[in-house]
Amino acid sequence: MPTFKSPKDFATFIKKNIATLETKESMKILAELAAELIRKRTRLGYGVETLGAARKKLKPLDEDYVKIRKRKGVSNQTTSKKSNLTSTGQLLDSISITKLSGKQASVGPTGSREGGALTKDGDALTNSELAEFVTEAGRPFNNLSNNELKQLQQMAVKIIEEALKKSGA
Amino acid sequence: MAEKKYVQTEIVIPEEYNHETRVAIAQDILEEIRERAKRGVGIDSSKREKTFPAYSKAYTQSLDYKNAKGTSKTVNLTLSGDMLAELDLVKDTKGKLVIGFDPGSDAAGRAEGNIRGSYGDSRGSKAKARNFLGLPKEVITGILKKYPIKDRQKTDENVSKSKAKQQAAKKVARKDIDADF
Repeated sequence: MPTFKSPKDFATFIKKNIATLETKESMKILAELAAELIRKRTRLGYGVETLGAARKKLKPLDEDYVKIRKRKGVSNQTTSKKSNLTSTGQLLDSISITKLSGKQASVGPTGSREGGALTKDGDALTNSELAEFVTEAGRPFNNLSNNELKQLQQMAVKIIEEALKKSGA
Repeated sequence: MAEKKYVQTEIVIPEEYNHETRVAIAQDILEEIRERAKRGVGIDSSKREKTFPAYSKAYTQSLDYKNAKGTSKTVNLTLSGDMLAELDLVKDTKGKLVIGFDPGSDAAGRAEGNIRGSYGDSRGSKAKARNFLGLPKEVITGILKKYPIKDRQKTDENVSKSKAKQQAAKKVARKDIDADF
């Protein structure tokens, strides 16, 4: 670790390395992790109501809907009875970065859907519209849980550590 | 509810350390435990390094496993990642750190299953255990070298570095990354 002449020098050194967190490159790493965490947790059958809340089991599927799923068949990432917002898999697979800068990143469902339900105007539902629909129907999922925030925090610490290592600390 | 004696562990450190230094040391210990668990390494009952036993065939063929880990067979105690993320400093007092889980938390039951090798069976099994809660003595000694009692400046700098790192990371995770439609 470099030696510092004064606490001010040390503070400047730390500040400079912490600033590496606020770059597009770092934010992209964190946003990709956030998308993966949401996708994985939802596919495991858990939703998150608000930012920082604990994950909760997603509401079970209605019996009638289970029958439809049995008849139509579902993706190999689910079963007809499992409530994990997966039928074809398109919704969760579409979660990716929607906004990215050195200061902020957002993730969420993106793009259109193939062979899915239609809106009342006859247009194909987008993944984002479907996400809103399932959320309103009581299965909120596009949030980061308390433990997911911790995982992001732990990744951010690693990014700073890498920067410190490069600085010779 | 998990049992505290299984999901929390005490780590003895020199009594000279103040609260801030203890917290910084604890962060290093927690990071090291997580890293080792992700590499498939934990401890045995004598706190010597031990490689985790492989996952059972039934587990690796389950839908949840396939959804979270695909075809990877790596034993890293990471399905959703929640359990290792929840591992934290429970308490610090003069000469002592307590790390582990709140026994009532969501992850504590899973942690106990791994630590005891019980996985729902109350008896537990040493052969099946993947005890990640702790570090070999020499690893702790290595961490403490970053905080020399006789070199106050070096210790203070490392404590400040740890604090700044944690605060910045927390801010970014909480405020700058969000999920929306």
